Amino acid sequence: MLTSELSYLNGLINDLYDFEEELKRLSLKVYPSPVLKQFITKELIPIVLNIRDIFIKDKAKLDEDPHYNISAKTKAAEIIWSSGYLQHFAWAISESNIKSYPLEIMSFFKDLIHELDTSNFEILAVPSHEINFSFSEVWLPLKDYLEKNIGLKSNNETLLIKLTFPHTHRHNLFLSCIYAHEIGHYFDRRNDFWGDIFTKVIKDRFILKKFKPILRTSSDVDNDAIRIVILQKVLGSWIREAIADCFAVCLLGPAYVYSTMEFNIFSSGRQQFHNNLLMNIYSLTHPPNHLRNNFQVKLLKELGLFRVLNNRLKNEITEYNDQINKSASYYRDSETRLDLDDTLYLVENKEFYDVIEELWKSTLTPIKSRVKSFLKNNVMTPKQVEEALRLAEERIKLAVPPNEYEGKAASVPAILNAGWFARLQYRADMEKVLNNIKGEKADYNFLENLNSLIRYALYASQVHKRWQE
Amino acid sequence: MGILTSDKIKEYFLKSSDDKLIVTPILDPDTQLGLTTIDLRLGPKFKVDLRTREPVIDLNDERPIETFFDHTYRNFGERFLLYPNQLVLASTFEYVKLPKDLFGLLITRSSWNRLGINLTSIVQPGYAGVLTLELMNKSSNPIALYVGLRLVQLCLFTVEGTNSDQYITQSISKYVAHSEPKTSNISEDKDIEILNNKFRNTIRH
Repeated sequence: MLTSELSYLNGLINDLYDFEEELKRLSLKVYPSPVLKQFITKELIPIVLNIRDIFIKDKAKLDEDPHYNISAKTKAAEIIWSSGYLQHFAWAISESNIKSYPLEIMSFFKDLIHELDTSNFEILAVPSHEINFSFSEVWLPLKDYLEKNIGLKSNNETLLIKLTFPHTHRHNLFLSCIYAHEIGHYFDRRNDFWGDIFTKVIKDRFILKKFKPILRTSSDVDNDAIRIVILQKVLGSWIREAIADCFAVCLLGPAYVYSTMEFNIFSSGRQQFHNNLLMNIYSLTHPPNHLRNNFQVKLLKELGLFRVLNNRLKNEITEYNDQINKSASYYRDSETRLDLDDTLYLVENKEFYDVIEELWKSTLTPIKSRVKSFLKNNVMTPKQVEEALRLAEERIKLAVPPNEYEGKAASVPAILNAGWFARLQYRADMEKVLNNIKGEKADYNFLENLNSLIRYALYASQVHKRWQE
Repeated sequence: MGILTSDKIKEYFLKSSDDKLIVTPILDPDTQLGLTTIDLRLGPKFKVDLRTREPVIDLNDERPIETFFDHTYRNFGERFLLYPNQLVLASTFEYVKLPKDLFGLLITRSSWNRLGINLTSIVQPGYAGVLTLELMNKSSNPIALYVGLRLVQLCLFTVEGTNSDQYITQSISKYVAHSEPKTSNISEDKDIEILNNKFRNTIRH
């Protein structure tokens, strides 16, 4: 058997027959969402049939004329298939099920998307074995590619949002506030907040000049090149992280700050465990932890959410903030090639990051005002923190879920914060009320009990709220 | 021991901390609070019994009872079909916490009894959590249940000679602060250990 264009096309066509069968089987067991079932039968299967038809037509032409040049459309269709995008789609749908879904917290974010973005969306919840969260729309890029490259149009406007979450932490509401950060990324991508803010900062030619001596080049580099480089590689990523953090602090207040502290146990804590050194790592994709935490705490204070905390809860934040601000800064000091022509190199050293840091800090004020005006009345208020303090003391401390406050459904931010407040303050009280917080599993059981109460409260409060509307 | 009327139930709602009766949330107090009962709604999580390759639930086996059940979920207002002779563990939507001087009797509302679903369960003083409902359809037709429907009623009784310790703090309490249906914890009973040690392993012929 010879390898040829014809044999390759044959293989692709057969693969697509297999894939069609797989999708048909998947459409029968997609559960519990009729939207996903319809998406497979009305969108994915027709795409597969169309791509297969494109291949079949070119195969017929190749059969007739071995010198026939494969069409651009067939090549574009082949890229879709070989990129694994469709297969990944099917895999995400097959992995998505209610049993692994972080249901209670996602209901809140679903309502938020309904309110601020669109009501036509479906969430594919895909568990991961890593401590990793992501939240991104996956259908529109494929839809656009199909339309532009092979002329395949779709009327489906329903967004498909893929949510990745760590399977072992699916019910861990103390870590789940990280979702608010991922939702921030989602809203940012949908509205291009970062692009606007970046453009405003970077249009200052004086700023661009600052980078010229830092970048190693083998030829002269113009401002546009620097702009693209910085945009693609560093400042853009840092701005996006700040926007996502801003969303999360505005939505969930102290609970998000505590959650990032918890999350960092898995990243910074691991480094410390192995190297006995806590580091603030400067990277191309993320601002170091201390800068992010400083931004979060400052925002918390500006929103008035810090001053209403009691000293015990404030200390938890300030002690952590002190600790990471005293940590060593780490720069890779390595060269990264930034363009395909091999002319532009970036050295990740202190000098470079000092400029990035200065620029990044200048974006924080516009970020805050942009995010706050987008979220409108979804920005957490000091009153909600006070509500959370009372829910923790008057309910969770007594093993009662914090779903109700003064006869009304408690707000989700208040419930999540109440969970954190109880965790940080009332363990001894809860040990007296619950009988399983003892022995070597005491800590685990304490968190399980708390999670159970908060999960219940999130669900019940949302039903209660809809009932009262 | 006397049954609590709605007036007394409301008084218990207003008491402070440990003496307080908690049933939360009561979505529609006018409908749910009867003369001597509180109607409770069907919750969203279900554990459905499975037929497995290991045909026996035996307390002397190490297999966890949880593995004899598959769990599923319905949204509020969504349908769940209960087939004849099928055991399904569900729970109340409401979270209940009884003070140490109240005892609860949980029974199906009579309209559901007449369709073939009947359950009776007791709620110990000091209990806290959603109440697990052992649903069994005794009719010959599947019955459609909807999450959020009022399915059971809770009758409350005062307890004479109240124990100083609440159920929730006693070492024997196994069903505490749960927010979803809980499968049986019968394997934690000490009885089987005693039976094994004193009788089963030393059978005298």
